[in-house]
Amino acid sequence: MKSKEENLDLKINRIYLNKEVLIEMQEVFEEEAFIQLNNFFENDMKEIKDIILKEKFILDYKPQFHKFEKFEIKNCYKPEIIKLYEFFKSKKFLEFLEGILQFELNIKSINLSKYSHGDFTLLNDKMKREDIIEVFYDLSSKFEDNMGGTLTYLTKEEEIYYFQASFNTLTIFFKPSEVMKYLKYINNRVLNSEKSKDGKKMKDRSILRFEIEIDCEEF
Amino acid sequence: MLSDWINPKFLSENKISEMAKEFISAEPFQYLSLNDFLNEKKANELFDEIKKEKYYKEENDLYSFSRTFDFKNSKSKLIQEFRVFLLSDETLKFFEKFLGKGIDSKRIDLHSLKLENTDYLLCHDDLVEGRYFAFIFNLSKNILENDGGKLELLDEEKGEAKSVVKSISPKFNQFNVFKVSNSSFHQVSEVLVDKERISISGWFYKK
Repeated sequence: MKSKEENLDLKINRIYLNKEVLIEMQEVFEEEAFIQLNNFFENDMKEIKDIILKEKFILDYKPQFHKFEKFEIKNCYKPEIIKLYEFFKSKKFLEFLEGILQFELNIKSINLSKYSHGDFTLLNDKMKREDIIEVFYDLSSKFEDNMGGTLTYLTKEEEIYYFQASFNTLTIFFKPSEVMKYLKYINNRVLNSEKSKDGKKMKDRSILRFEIEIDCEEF
Repeated sequence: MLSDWINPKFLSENKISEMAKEFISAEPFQYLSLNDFLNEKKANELFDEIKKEKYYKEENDLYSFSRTFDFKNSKSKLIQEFRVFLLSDETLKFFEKFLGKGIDSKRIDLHSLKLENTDYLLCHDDLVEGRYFAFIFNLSKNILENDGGKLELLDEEKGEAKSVVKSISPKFNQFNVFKVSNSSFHQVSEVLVDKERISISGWFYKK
């Protein structure tokens, strides 16, 4: 069992730091423009997730565009959350991504969002049309496809990729300018779908996700 | 005859005048919601008939529901009679008295929508060139207040939908109609129980 202080020192799963695995990750990303790294941190992320879930999120509802809750880091004093934010902004994390993508990168934005029952994002004409690398770090429990919450990427012709939230997973996706995305409406199947620690009380499930946008002009 | 299909209480000149006033002054945009609109016998017959139609599940970012093809090709005699009735001179004159003039008698979209548990329809305005009035004949038989499936009307700010200001619970034989415009923002809330929210809906077009 790690102490609270040890848990603040975020460690990427050592498998992903292995040189041979790095080459494999480079090949997967080069071929698929997409990669998912499960068990990304070695730390007790369940504890950090529980700390985040106790924090106040702010509703962002634009009926034609989206409904979800966002977290204001500037008002946060919890060291666990600040450390996680700082990690995603750090040189160490950037170098890790650059190792897989084999390009110099520049982080544009980092947001922490929560998607619960009734939340969604819609396709719309105001979406940014630019090539971008999207990185997601999920602290969510596993979502079943029939609950909604899938993030779907599509062109005008076809769906090209979709993925579902998965706990302690880092997802990296190259999104070309012509590709759009939406998060499918989260329906009532998520309600009472998760047992709490004591196994008695039922908790509602939500997607808890760091969303990191990375410039990739030279990609 | 109008009274073959429509509840006679809606056919008096006084009632029509009342509905016209209500429609034109409605907020957040011109709409009417009328309970017991059709003759009960006809509403029940329509309910039985649409249950025989084939529904196709459709899902995307905006909605999840099941829909029939347009009823212009339906093999049901009753549904065809209903379609002819809606486009008859007498019916259109009746609607024009309280909705507004200029409904095209040659064009109508008519189909049935079915929303089951977890289905929804998110915010949109229905605006497509030529569409004049959107209508919904609700035929859901057992939907309760907390079961979801509500028709929600939203106000707007700077051309964008803002928030729900009117929420209409579906009832059997309820007729909802609204004028289609770039601010007719509406949605149907998720059905939260194992029941069917079923309706005949469509659009009248402008001449």
